[in-house]
Amino acid sequence: MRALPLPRAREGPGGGRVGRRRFFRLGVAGSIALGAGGLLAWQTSGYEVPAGVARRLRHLSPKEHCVVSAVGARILRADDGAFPSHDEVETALALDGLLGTLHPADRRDLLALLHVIEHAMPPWFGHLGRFTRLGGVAQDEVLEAMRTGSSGLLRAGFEGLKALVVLAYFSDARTWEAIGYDGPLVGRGA
Amino acid sequence: MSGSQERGRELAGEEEWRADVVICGGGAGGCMAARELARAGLDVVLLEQGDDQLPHTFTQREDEMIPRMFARAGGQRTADRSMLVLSGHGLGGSTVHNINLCKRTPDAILDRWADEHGLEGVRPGDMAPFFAMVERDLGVRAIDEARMNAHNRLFREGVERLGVRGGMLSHNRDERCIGSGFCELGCAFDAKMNARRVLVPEAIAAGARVVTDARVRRVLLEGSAPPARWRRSRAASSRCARGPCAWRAAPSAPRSSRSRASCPMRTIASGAGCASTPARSWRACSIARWRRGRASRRATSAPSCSTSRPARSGARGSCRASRTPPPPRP
Repeated sequence: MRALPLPRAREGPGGGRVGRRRFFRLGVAGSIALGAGGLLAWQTSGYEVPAGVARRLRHLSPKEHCVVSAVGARILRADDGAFPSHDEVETALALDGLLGTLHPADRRDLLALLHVIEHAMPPWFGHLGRFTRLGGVAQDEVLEAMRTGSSGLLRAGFEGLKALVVLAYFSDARTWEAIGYDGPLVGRGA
Repeated sequence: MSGSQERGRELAGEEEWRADVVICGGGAGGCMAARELARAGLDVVLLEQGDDQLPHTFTQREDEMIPRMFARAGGQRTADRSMLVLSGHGLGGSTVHNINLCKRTPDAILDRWADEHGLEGVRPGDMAPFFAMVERDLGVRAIDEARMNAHNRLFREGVERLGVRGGMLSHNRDERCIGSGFCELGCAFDAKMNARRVLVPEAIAAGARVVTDARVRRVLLEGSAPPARWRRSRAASSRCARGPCAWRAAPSAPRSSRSRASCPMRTIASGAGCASTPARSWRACSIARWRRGRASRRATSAPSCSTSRPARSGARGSCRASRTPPPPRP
């Protein structure tokens, strides 16, 4: 009867012997780590805002500004030409100003929510890629799924973000004409 | 005797005041309690976390007024974040930014409070004179026909055709009201006969000391020492050992220069509204548990204002808010 051959071993970098199976496992783990690192780098890069806007941000990072812009573009999209676009109104920048009035804990929650929307919500609701790189229809699906989902926390997060986006947008006087509002009475003079 | 009105952030250093009653919260309930207790001859200190919001500073802009007038800038939520809980922030509380529609509590609800919760003195017959007094003082009257707009007229017509019982609501705005529709952002024309405009001046005239921008940090019972996590300053420990204390600090001032005061008192009244009064009572119960039963037996909680009287040192009892009798009248 002939014995099965033992796995061949080789010298490890520390002088220890590394088995073939262990070598294979290390290789697979390394590949996964490299892949995850690359994916992470891909997912967290490419957030660019104009230098002038970046300088005026007080609470949002450029990445968070991009997420707010993407969400705002879906919430505030106007089918007719009567309303100014959210970019014209600089909704994300206005929202950055509103964040300064919030309680610090609420502000932290909201900023965390932006990261959740960007990275966790798309795969959660069946889309590959981050929110800001999805198409408009897919972004609408993600936001609608948040709005109507079973998680009270996500629903509340969506409603809170939507309220702030809408408040930031309609606080700008350029939007008032489209809704027939002529602004506050105080300060108009006699 | 005339009281005073101060801002917490303008008081320097540490102070100790004496009072018969400290009222935490200067909204609808707290301001009324301050006025009535001061008129009854008690030394009253009213502490309000928010600032004194004056009508000439109201801009009628949501982005500016909501953070000023609502607790947590309008972002106050339940612990699980699922529900928004709006409440007022500033002297006068929600009466500064509500739309001033006034309705008496329905008889059926008053009876239910009495029957199911054992509250005394809340039957419709008992409450009627109090409702009448409040309505008289705040100038409550039916809204005139001239102020009814088209959709309200249409609604009334529909109600009448259906045979549903109804009628005009009452409000407490005076002749300064121009119907601008900005009520919920505070009335820039000062047309609201609210707690800030009516009750606060009367409370001060009766001798109450009103302190805005003053957040109550701790309420400690007689003879107690604070938990270790509260002993952040030597002053805190020494004052707590002497008697019940209400602490305040100006939240917006730099931490190093925050003024603070302690105020030994006989009775504390919580006028923090239906959102914060139960939360405060709950926290007080937690403190009571920590003190192993030395809390007051006379703690009670109502939708708008609750009072409790610190027990004598060594007294035993629990602080279960819903099971205790109403507080004794001062």
